[in-house]
Amino acid sequence: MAVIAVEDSNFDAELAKNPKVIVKFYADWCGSCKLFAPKYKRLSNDERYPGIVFLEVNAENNPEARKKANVNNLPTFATFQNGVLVETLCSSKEEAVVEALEKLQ
Amino acid sequence: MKIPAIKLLVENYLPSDLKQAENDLIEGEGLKIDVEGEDEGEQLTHVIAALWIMEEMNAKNIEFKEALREYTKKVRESIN
Repeated sequence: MAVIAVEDSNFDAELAKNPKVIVKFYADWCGSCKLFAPKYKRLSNDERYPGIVFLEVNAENNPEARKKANVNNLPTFATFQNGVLVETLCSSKEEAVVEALEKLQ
Repeated sequence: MKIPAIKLLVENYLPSDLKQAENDLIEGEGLKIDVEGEDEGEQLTHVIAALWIMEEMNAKNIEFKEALREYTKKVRESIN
């Protein structure tokens, strides 16, 4: 499944319509975010996570979404189940993101 | 992110050197210039910051300090 770019305007709607969601918060100035982009795309296509929707939010332009995931560093990954925040993870390590995905499964 | 590392890049390199470094980091290739940072992610952040600041200095004809202030404001706004 492709990574879907969302903004403040449609963030809640995406959480509401998808029971299991992971969100990557990034910024264009963040080198670690840029280096993680191909890994996130690869994970979104990984058949181990068929029920999880992968979103990404530019943290610089979307303060409301940022607040809902308690973002205070980048990159941040947040998982949501039925619209409720499960976990916020600030890491550039793929293993940590995989662990969060496994918990969400 | 370390401000002295960004300052060193702005003072010592051309935008073309930094663009090459940005590309090398994204492609996972060896760097041809010295870039401080704990890992490739932090190195890339420093390179992107130096490029942004150089462009800001040229576009607005301002000094490093002022462009740096704009940059740090932009960063703060992304994580506050």
